[in-house]
Amino acid sequence: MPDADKGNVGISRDVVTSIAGIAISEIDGIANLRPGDTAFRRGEGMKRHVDTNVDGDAVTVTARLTVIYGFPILKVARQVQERIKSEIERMTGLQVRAVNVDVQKLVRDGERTEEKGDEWDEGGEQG
Amino acid sequence: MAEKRIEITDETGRVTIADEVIASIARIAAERVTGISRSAGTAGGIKGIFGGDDAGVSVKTELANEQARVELRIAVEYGYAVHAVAGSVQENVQKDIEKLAGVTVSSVDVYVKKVVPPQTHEAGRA
Repeated sequence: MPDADKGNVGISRDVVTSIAGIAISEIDGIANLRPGDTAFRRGEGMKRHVDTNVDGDAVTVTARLTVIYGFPILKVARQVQERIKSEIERMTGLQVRAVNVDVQKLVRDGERTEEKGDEWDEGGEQG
Repeated sequence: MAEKRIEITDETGRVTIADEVIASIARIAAERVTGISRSAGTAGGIKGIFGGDDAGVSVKTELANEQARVELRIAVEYGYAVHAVAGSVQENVQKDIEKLAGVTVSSVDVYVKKVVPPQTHEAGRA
């Protein structure tokens, strides 16, 4: 945590969301967030896939993902959870309380996901 | 009761797999079987040549007690033994869902609703 003598450092929710999004893109088997994929979205667009809730020093992240056929879904989801948690904690010093992963779709490798992009706006079945 | 998704929670958080994901696995697994007719519409191509979605695979899934029940409607290409194709579909679908989603499959029902002319495998595929 920053030294109080030097003033405060605030980290916006967007920063945490971006870190989560980039962390996801580093995992194999995710269709809609791969680097180089035209559907790879950072910044604003990332909010379609990642919800971040910062409560004091505690962060809860929910990621909505499309997995590529052939990859073991639970293993991919676990990797996403671990990567998001470790990257956010390493980069921001915030405590990650939970990472929720909702696997919403599955596509063949190479199948375009962006043409279905609008469906993501509804935000799935988030309560 | 039927659920809309599989949910697994541990100390890291919650992982859910939507029933739509199970259905997609089933559809892709079925379409990989030789002799199965794939819908011309899936790639946004020409629909309706052989009667639209009738020529493809349609899937219904039901999740209950951490188990999946799958119902598929398939079309078989002319020339293939229907029972053999349907049997391979059952096998593939069960194997893929259990391997990829980690969900036990209680049953795979297959209805063969149509026989279609052999496909050229070039119409509007991605």
